[in-house]
Amino acid sequence: MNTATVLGIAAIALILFLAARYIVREKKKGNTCIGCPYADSCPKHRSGCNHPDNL
Amino acid sequence: MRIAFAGNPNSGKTTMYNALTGRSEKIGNWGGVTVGSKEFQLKKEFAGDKEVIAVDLPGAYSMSPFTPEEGITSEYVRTANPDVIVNIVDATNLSRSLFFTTQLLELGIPVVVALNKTDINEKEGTKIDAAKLAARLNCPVYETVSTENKGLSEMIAKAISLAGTMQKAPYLQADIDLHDKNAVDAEDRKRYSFVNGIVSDVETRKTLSAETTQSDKLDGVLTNPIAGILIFAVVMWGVFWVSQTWLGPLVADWLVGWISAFQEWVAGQLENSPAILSALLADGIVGGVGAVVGFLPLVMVMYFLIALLEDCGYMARVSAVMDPIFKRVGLSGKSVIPVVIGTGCGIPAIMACRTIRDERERRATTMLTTFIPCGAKIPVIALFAGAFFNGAGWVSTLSYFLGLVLIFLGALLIKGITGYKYRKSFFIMELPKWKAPSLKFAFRSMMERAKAYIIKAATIILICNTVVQIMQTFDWHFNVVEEGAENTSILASIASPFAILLIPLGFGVWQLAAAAITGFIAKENVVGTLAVVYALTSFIDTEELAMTGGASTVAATMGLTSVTALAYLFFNLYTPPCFAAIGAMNSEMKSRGWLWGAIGLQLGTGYTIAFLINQLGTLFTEGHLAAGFVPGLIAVLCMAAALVLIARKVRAHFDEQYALHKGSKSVNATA
Amino acid sequence: MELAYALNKGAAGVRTEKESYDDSGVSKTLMDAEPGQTYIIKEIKTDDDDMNSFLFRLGCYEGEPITLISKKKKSCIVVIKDGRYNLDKLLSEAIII
Repeated sequence: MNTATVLGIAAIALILFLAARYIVREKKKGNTCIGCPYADSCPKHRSGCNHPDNL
Repeated sequence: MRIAFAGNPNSGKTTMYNALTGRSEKIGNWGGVTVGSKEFQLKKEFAGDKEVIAVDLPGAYSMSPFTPEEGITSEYVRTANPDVIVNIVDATNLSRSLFFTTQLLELGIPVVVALNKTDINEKEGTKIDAAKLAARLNCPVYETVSTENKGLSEMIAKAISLAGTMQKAPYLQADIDLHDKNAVDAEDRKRYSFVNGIVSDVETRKTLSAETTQSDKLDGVLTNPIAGILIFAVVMWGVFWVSQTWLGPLVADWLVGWISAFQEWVAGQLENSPAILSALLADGIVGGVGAVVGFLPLVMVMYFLIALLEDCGYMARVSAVMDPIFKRVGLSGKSVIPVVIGTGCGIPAIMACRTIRDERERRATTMLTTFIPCGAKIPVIALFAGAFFNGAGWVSTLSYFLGLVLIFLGALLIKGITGYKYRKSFFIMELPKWKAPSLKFAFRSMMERAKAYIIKAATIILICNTVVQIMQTFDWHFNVVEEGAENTSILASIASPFAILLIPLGFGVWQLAAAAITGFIAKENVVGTLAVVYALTSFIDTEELAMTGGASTVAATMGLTSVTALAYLFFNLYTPPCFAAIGAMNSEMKSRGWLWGAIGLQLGTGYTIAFLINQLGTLFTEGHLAAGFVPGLIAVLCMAAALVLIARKVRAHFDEQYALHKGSKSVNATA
Repeated sequence: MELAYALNKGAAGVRTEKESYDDSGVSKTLMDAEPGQTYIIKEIKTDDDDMNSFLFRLGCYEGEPITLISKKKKSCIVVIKDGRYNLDKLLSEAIII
């Protein structure tokens, strides 16, 4: 195990962790399609606040 | 407290909402852009210390809904009890807008009228006496220009201060039986005459709106059945050409250079580490995500151009010119708008179908609109155009026009299956005033979409690529797969059964099947997975690749001919969209039968198109049919048979329903 | 309103700015109209109550003026109140002027 290997493993773990965390958080907010380029302008996407229903 | 934004379609509600909240909801210069309600906190500079939530509602002409999205608005203002209503009135069409205003004023909730688009009135020499209007309506009136943030802070401050007060209506509907159609009609007539009285009192016009203007001449050409459609084709071709052949790849070349340099650097750092690690990090994560991000410039240019188109008012004209054609196949002219939005993303396109009034037309459009390649499919198209067709622009143009043709054919099919009986399908589309598209807005929406694209690549795509890489590296006993024994990997064993089904289409290898499957999570995954399973990255670098023989390397590695490559591309384009879009279809159609019908139709279409291209293409280029012709033909025939069966069933049902319907109608008539 | 309505009806297509006569007596639809002319709507015959009331909300109902801007084989562009609309053939034939 050299330093590069350790760093590499750490990098993979960190990247995957951050990505997974982001997805989980978005799901909790109720966004079904994560990172959709149209998200903000899409009626399906909830705008991050307590929405009664997106009807 | 909550402030609801209500008004006629295309009066600028969402533009004002965006200005006040700092959001960037979709706007466009036609009626019916907003099809659902949205809410967000007001910016501090407008709200002060108070917590004020703005609610953006779809446009409505009155409190009695005509289309489903109008219903959202009337339902909301009636039942959700907002503290204040800001009624956005299109100052260029005062006489129509005030009808709804007087209805809102009757609710008892304080109303502030924002007389929007006053800049256009100034230009046209129309004067509206705001003070007099305020006196007549018994509510404050502010002149605003929401595109320039003019008059907004005064207006919203007043609105906030009014919370908790009661609105006195200037016009109260007489106590009538709301079920008596004639009484309601008479009442509405009275209301209109009240409105007309106000308008003639407060408005002076220099140019009469009935006069024929320059823009009418332009509209005449654009809605001409032949010229209009040709112009639309040229405009769309221009958008694709600029984004996918000229400007997009220019920037992408440069970007991809950096990405592959970074990938090499990562691989170099991990030279002395286990091969799996290098494969996972350099090929899987950096390579796979990089392959997708490499196409970002193409997508960005496209978003920019589409935003300009939506902003100038052209979409309504396109919808008008396409109506006769769409109507012939059993859709409506309004189906054009979802189709155009669908070039960006299928989900808002599916939701935009709400503006279509007839349920059958609405469902049919929902079903078909995703045949238009969305933004996520651009990388796939660009990859195949670059690797197999020398970056030819015709590939993407063909993809879109074939998508349109499939929509027509699909619509005809649905018309046949559902036993569409002649029904009066009226079409009316407001032609909004032309306006110079805002570059700032287009740029902003492009940047936001680019940001989201990167987020998607760095989360969903990244995780998918890692999973694919891991599944490819290990077999079921979690041993590392030996070189030369790739077919024993987890990925290979899962994808192989699917690959067999794809043999008649010319691409029956597990790698391509796996890429097609991951595409259902997100279509960009097709590119990412191909990058991972074939360890390729510089897909886009067409010029350089051509010099180094790279494009042909890509082609050779995948073992596809130009014919099978085209078949594979079309298979990915016209099979069902990603899961998110299928979910949207489900919630919009509100019918299991239609949903499964849609998925079945899309699978069948993708399969059949790929089958035909592969078999006929091979026949033309090599003089014989491709492998698996007979099983493929059987599959296609089975699908056709299934269609006929469904059609029979539905029709039998339909006749029943129709009979029932008739029966109940006659009962009503006699009663 | 009742009065204004009656007046309009009596004047049968006479407008203040431009004079356009409709003395044929037979029912003319928008499809028979001349581009550039303003007419008074006599009747809306869509056989569809929802559509009728929708048109009403746009300001398209009996007694109101409507201006034909241009006419094609299958559609036409009209001005109702201060808005421009594209109507298909079916709808323009349902508007009697």
